[in-house]
Amino acid sequence: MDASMKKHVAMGVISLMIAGSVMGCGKKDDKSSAAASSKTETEKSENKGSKEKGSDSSTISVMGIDWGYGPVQNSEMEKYWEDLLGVNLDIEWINYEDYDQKVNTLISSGSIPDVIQVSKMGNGSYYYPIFTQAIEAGDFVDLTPYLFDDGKGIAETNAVMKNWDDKMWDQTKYKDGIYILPRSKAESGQNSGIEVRKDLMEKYGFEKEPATMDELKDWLIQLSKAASDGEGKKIYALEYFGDKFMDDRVKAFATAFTGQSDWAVDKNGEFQYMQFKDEYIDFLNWMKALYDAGAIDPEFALNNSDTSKWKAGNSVALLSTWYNWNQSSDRTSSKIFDDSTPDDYKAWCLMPVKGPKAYTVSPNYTDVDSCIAISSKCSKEKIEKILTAFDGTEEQYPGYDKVMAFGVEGIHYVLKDDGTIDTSENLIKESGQDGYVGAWNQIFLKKDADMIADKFMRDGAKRASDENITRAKEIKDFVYKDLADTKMKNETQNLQSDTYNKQWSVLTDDVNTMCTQYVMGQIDEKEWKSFVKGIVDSSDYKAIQKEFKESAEETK
Amino acid sequence: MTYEMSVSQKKNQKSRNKLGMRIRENIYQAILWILLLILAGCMILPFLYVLVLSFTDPSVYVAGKFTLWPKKWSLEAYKLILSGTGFINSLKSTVIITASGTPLNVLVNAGLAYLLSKPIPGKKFLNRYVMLTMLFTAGMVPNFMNIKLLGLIDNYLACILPSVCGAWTIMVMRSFFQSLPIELEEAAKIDGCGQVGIFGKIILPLSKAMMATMTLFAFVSYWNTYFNSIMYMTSTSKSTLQVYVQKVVLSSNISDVVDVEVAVANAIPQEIMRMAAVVIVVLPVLIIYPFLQKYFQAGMMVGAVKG
Repeated sequence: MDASMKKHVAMGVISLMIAGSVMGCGKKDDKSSAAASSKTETEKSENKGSKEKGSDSSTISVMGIDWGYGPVQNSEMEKYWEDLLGVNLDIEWINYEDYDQKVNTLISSGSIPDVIQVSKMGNGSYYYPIFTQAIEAGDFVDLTPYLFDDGKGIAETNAVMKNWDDKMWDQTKYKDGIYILPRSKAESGQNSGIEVRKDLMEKYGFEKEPATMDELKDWLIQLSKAASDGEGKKIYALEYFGDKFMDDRVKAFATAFTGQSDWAVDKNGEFQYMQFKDEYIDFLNWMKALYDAGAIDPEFALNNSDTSKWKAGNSVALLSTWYNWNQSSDRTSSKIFDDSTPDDYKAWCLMPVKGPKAYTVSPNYTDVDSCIAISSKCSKEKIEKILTAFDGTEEQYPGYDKVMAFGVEGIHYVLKDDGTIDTSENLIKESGQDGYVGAWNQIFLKKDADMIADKFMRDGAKRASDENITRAKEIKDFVYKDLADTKMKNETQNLQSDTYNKQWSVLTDDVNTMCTQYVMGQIDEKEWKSFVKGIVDSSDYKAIQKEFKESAEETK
Repeated sequence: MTYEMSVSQKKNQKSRNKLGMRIRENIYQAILWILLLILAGCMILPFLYVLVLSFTDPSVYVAGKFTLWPKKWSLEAYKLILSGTGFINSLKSTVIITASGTPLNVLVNAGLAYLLSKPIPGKKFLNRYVMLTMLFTAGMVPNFMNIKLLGLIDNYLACILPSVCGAWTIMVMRSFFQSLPIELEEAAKIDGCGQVGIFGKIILPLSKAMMATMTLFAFVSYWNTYFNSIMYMTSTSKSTLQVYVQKVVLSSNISDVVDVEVAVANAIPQEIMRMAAVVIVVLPVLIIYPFLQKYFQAGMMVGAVKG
């Protein structure tokens, strides 16, 4: 083939590729009308099918997240639910690490099952780009008419949902429609618990708890030093690790200095990101003080969750959920620390401390604990069937709450004479594995989370001490009151910004690295401020601010 | 006298030179040995760490600490992985996929490679067409739609067929076939052998080293099937060993992931579980490798000489 021929062939191939790309970009109207017409056709064929076969319309295909051992299909648990609810469930469980990839592929290829569990994206939002594009294309049902119908809607009559206020339902909205159906309401301000080693506090005379961020810093450093000298091994002040500098392990501290969660609206009405606020440097200086005192691992940026110092007993404190320190009163039946640690380690939780701008109370991105979405390929009849089956309550089915929490008596647990639950038998363990209860309560409705009752006040030996229960209640009351008073929330919840979706990860690629370098003393305040200014002055950041503002206006 | 001295001096000089060379040679060898031992250590130690940790009892496990020998032996992690209800099913799936896919992969690629090594019409176009697939891929969504339209969802073929034909394998095999002397085929043709016969009775036996190498690659590739299993298998009973092992490993971390009232609790740290999973998954490859090693060594330079 001569050079001229090669050029012609190359031009031809390029033209074909361009033509193919252009043809693939259909109009929005064409897409939605195509989706609507395919839905109509599917409805027709489904109705025809159900008339002819008379059996398949009750089969509900579901995709759920497998958080643990991997519930198997047709398990005892699945059969139990099918018998109770009078439906045939065709469930596929995908492990949580691969779930997003699979469900997004199915959404993009138009192969959505009847019900999917929607997972939270990295920023805590359920309405992530692929999902919202599918909503725009008409692939998911707007549940508003089913939920609110002049007092007859499910949200108005269901024993659990009717307790949810407008604030809860606002979190489920996308452009005036409700496309996600919450499964329960989470505890508020989850990541606001400064868990500490009470045994170290008592042993080294640090029982007086800090009340401010400065006091907390000094308290942690001094206790860390005293414990390291006394125990004969290094005990760090704060469990902190990972190359993602700004995560839930320190966010509440940052909130105390900045007075906001991830995004907030300033007095000029502009959306501002927490890490780019002037006050954020004060938080970095606080972390730097811990680092300079040797109170946090000098290699914190390299560590990972598999080397938890807190669990190994090598850290004084850990910022985590305020209810995750539910150590049993005997300290062994529900052990918080690694098995290799002595039984005298005591878990405790400090009250939130006051920073310059706020308390160490970090609001959730969303109070929706988990949720599902329903495919628009389902007929109206099927949607109603799904809503009935998936929204059971204790009032409708006595014993429902217990099944959701523990599984079926005799299959997943045995009830002892003292009323406590025993899951130690091997057969029971296997059934628990196969049916894995923890997966079902992510797709079926369950009562609002009450972590004090569920974690601290369990029956039998796993119950926490009265002192710990009292403290947990105090913290919960404080967190709820603080959030009610400050009305702090992530202001970009369910707002959409194209530039944010496309450019945010690129724009902030170096932010965590710069934070790490600042804390380690490799850059100074001037360099940090110059770096932040570069981002804040960029056209992308300004576009993001503008788009969030416009999106907020649309939702008003 | 001077002449004799100069001769003897020369002899001494030579012997001193030889000695010097020997010493230098020995020093050189010693340095080489040390470097190679360090390199071997760098390669063996990580695997040793994996092995040691997988047999370590959870009660003596210290996160991040490296030991050359378990302080206390335990098979708990292995028991948990091997006794799971899904283990036999997932092992069966993996064996089916590997046993079917490996010979299919090798035969299909060898067939196409042999064809491309012959002077056929459109050979250049075919070569470039095959090479193009090395540069571009359709992506996840089109692949999924393709498999779905073929009705292969939840079918073992969905894990076998996409990997049957590989451009790199074809290119390497083609280079090897091209290096074989054409006279052999001509002699076979003269004796009345057809193309299929030549391929089966002459070419393939001569290509044992290369075929063994490609078989090993295909075996490892199919044995490690994970992503296709996640994407295309909807039944839990058909998911592969890698998926099963991943689930078990992830389950160790469950308390960090979700708050559940009834934890199907196990006290084995995730790190130990991971190491045990790695050993279980790698074991078949380690077992097969010694049998193919002689072919593998010979096949290392396959296709390197002639492009």
